[in-house]
Amino acid sequence: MMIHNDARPVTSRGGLDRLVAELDRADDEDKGLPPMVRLPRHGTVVLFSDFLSPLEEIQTLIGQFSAVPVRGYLMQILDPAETALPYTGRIRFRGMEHDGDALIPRVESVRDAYTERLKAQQSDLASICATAGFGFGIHRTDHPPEMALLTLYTALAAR
Amino acid sequence: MIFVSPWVLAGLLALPLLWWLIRVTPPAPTSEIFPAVRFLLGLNATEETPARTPWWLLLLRLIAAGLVIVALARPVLDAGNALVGKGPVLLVMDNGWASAGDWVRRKEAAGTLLDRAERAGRKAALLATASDGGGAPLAISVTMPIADLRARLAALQPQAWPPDRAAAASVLRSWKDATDASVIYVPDGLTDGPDFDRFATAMRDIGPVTEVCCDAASSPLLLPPTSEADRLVVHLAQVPRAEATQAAVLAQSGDGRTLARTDITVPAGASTASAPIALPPEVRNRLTRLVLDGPPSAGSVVLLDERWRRRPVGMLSGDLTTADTPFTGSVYFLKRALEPFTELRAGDTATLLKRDISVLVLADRPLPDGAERDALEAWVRKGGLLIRFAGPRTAEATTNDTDTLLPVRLLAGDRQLGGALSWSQPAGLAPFPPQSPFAGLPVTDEIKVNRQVLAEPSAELAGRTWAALQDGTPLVTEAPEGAGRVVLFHVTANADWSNLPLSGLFVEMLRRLVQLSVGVANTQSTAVLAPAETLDGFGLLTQPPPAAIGLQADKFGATPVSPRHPPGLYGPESGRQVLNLGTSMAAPEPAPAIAGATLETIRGSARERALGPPLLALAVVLLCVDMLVSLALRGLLKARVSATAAVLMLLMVSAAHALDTSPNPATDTRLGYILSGDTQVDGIAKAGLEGLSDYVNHRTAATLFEPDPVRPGETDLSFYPLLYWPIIADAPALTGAQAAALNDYMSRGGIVLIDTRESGSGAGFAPGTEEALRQIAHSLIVPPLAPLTGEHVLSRAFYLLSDFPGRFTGDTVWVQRDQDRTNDSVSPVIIGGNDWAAAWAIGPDGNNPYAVIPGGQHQRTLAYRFGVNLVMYALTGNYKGDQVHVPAILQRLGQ
Repeated sequence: MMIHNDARPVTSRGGLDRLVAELDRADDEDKGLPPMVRLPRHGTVVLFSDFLSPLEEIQTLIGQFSAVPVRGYLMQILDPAETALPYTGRIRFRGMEHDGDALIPRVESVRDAYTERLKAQQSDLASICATAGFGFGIHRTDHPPEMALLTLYTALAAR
Repeated sequence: MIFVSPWVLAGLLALPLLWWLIRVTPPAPTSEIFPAVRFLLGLNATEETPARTPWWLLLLRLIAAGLVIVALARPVLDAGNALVGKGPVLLVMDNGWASAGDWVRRKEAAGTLLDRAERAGRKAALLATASDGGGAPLAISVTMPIADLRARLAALQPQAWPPDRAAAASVLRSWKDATDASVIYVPDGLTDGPDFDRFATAMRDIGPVTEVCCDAASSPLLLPPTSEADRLVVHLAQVPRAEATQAAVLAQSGDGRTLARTDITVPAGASTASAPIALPPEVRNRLTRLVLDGPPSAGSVVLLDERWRRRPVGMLSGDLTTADTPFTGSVYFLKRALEPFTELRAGDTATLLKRDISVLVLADRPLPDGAERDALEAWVRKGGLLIRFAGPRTAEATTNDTDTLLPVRLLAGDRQLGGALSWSQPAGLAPFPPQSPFAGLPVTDEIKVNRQVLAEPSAELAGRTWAALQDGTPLVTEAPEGAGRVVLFHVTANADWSNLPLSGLFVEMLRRLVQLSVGVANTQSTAVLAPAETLDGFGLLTQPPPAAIGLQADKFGATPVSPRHPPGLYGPESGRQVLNLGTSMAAPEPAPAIAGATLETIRGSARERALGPPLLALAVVLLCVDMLVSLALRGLLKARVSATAAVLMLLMVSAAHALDTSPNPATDTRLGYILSGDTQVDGIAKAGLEGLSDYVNHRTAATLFEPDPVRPGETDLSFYPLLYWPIIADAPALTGAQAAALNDYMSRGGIVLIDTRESGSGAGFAPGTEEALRQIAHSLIVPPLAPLTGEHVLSRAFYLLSDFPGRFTGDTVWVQRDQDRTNDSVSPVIIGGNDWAAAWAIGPDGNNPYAVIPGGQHQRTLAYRFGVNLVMYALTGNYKGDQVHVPAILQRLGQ
């Protein structure tokens, strides 16, 4: 079941199709993070996102989930361009979700600083998840998804 | 090459700065969508990306910038030195007769010097030293900007008279704008009078003088020729030169043809030269001018008038055996007197009168009744001048009183010294009466007359007397006879009766008489002759200038040429006199160079060329190239876009339609037109069917190929669904084979569209075609016909039509009346006269060459739609006649 509308959990075959159809639908009020919805206790929630939002929001959300209590797993999906920043030259980066623009005169020179920031974000996420008892995984979109899913399955089955 | 504003070149120092700027300026940023922008915000970039401009693009930009700077500095090619001085420039141009030879080059040289003055920002004034024909005195023009002065310089023309140095000098001295001025002087190389030094001094006093040195263009002057017995001697005067020069003189007649030519060689250092032109007298009498071969000017033309014509004079004597005896013969003195200036002919009367003779002199030859006298009388009546001298025989013959060819009646006998009617001493001549042609000739006391014949006193004797003795007795009498004249000298032609023939007066009197022979006006009269045609500066005869006034006839030899008396022809038609430039002009003297003047040469001064505008244009071209290259480098000049643009351009150029052709009519659908034999009509049919096929291809699912010409009986008609048949007026009747082929075609489902091309609004365009159609239709099996209306399926086969126009409109179109189910209810023949092919035709440029009548694009569209309906009708039969379409059609019509 998808978090976004309050649909009931289904176990039929049609459920998968409905799931995919839901994924295709783009929501205008997308804030980047899944909203907090009422979940049954001792459920399992898996959050897929790039988790680039400010850490406070993520912490609040995870805290809310873990207060229910709900077990969970966070999977961060990143683009290889986001991890490695392979650009050169003078580039204006435009944000997708009303974050603004950044004009970087020479991208090679900020590459290291950016990578530092990204690693800091990821380590903070890992610590938040560890505190809340959630699992944390990182998936790069140019890697095959089987590895990440296997890790996820293993983590979910272990609980 | 110089630069007008050289300080602008300091901008070239900025070019390295430009280079540095281009390298330092970052390029425009590319745009990327990045979700993790939040992490990039706030990062300080330590470096800046340099522009990755290729070195050759940088070089291009630097060159363009450099060209712009150089162009702004206004470079000038072939510039001369700057003129000295700062104030206005006075341009003094000699525009007399001597400057006409290379007038254009003088103006160019002056223009070049004015260019230099213009660059220095100075103003200018103009002084032309020969006054124009308007009569206004010489004046310096107003000081004006050089652009305006150029217009005045362009309008300046050389004159036919020499410059007036004295007037120019006084005008120069009184010039008001002379502060800080400088002078440009374009001389003609001659002093033109004694005032040249004053003129030069006046110029020097104004300011520094730049003299344009003429490139050894000494202008020769042709002087009036002298006429000798059998030839004309031409004279040339010019400034003495260091080497011998050659000149050619052409003698031309009134219609401009050159009748003779002679070459004159002027030795080195000589100022005059002569050469003879030998001409027969008839040819000589036709000459009107002598022209010096070379650049035209007034000084190279000498006009000729009567004074240079030779009039043949015939002489007859009474006593032919002794006529030529020296000193005593009657003709001897006449010969001596007349020979230098006329051509003398001797012979008997008949021979003399056969050739062209103006004057006939009879020395003591009485004329009794007879053929001779009649012949002479006829000749005199036609305009000849008969001069008779008295003598013993004439005195005797007067007793018979049969000689009527005398100006006066003579008394019998003669008067002689010591005779009955005699004087006591020989009589002298009285001054000539004013109306006689001898008026003005000096009479000396030495002339004495001993013996003469006397005239009978009568009332008109005084009027007929041209010379008389001191006591009033007439010595020379005359009388007009028809168009000619008879003159009688009452003495002998030799020294027997008087010593007149021994004197110089005799020669003059005879000369005057000979000149009188063709009505030449008395050159010694004081009548004022008005100018009839005058020479302009280039030696062409034109209207006299306004300032020209008449000249007294006796002053022609002594008047210098001036604006008031320009060289040319004066007087009435019958008595033209000529005033030539060289008649009373002193020998040309070379003018010295002005002391202290800078010398420029005419030949070496090429026009300056400003290089600024071409350099700017080149810089603009380079910047355009740079823009294209930059676009290409940034990837904006995408291959797809440029390919589309190129293809669009090509499409616009080429013709719009491209019907496919295939050699085999069986494999592809195509229309056909029956050849009528008239190439124009066939061409229209072909173009029309091509246009229709194109139209059908674009708008329907049918694909038609190129239409074919078809000959029924020879070509197999079965491949063509529709045949177009234009009828011409002289179409031959169908042969059996042709008719059979067409009938066969129509019976098996073919459709023939017959077009008489003359109907409705097009009546008269193709007369006779209806008759031709009637003859043709005899052999065709045509079913009963009915007019095509809106109910017929043809009117809704593709478009819904109510009218079926072609090029013309208004007439009915005929189709088969009855439905024939074996033929799928399709009419085998459609007959009309609306000239559809011309309405459908498209020319090679894509336009419709034939206008529709009465006109309008709507009519043409309807014509095309009818064509499409025809094609659909031919291809689908009566498909649209099916009832299943009726609701849709009704709905369509209802809309």
